[in-house]
Amino acid sequence: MSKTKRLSSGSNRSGFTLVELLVALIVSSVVLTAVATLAYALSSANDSTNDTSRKQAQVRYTTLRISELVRHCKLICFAGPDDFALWRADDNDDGQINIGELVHVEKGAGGEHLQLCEFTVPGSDPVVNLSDIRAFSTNWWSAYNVDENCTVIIPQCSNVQFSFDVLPPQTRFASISFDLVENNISRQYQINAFVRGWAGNLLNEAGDALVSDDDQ
Amino acid sequence: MATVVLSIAAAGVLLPFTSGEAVRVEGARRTLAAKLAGDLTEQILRTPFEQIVAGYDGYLETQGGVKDVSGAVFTDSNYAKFSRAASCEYVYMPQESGAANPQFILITVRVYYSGREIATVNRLVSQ
Repeated sequence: MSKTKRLSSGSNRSGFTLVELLVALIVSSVVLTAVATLAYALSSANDSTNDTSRKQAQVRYTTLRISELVRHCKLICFAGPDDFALWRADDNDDGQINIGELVHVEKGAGGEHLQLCEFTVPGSDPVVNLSDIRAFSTNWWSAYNVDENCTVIIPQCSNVQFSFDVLPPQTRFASISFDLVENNISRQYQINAFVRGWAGNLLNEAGDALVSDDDQ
Repeated sequence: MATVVLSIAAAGVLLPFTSGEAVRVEGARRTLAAKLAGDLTEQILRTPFEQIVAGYDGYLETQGGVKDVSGAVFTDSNYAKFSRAASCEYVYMPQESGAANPQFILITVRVYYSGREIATVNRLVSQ
């Protein structure tokens, strides 16, 4: 009798009932689930933000780079469905197109990226005839013993299209459009540029070759 | 009391994230607006000097009607709240007498988002 009384009085003094423990467990799991969900959502939002910011930076850089190239180029020498070539500048001021002065804007195999291809010349920079410049993928440049240097400026894009007001070398206006997936949504972008420094004065009457000055 | 304290705590945790997102979206919007302004400026520049004022002074693309270079409206929802306007006017430089035909045109392109101006490009072109 005295043993039973002792146990009973001890139970009343301290400890939790089973129901209290269960309620505490349920409340804790609800709070933990909420915290885990919030952490996951924040992580996803952070990934998405980083991805979008990276692509926005790519678009900004590409817009600046290509706009500047087209605006200040002397001629757009070739245009095809997959790329176009422009005479960036007359670096050595000889009135001729040297292969080191050319840049190809190419949409890459399958059109899934946009890249700039330039040529590194180990020795003297050879002169190129306007009519010899063709699509980058044809490797026309390999005859000049140069190294190509391609830089991908937009790694993941689609539906890249080039359009021009008229065919090269008379081209004065170039437009590049492409789609970019941001947050699982395909966004349309377009880069337009007007050739300000067009060197039409260096073209012959037929417009298919360079002459050394206006008077020829 | 507990609810109020918890709400304040939750708001304190979430506010930096929502503010950061709003800043990011605004940055992307302004980037696009600057691009749109630049694109229209380039289109105007390709126009012969004598036709710029007639063709582009008072030019307007209403909200949701921003066009690409081929004249097609952008279908992307990104462009839905943008609008563009251009003004082109002959101007004289301080050194000019003002008697001869004007040799310069001041091009101003403005881009709006939901009616709020967010990008402006000015360009002076000569004949």
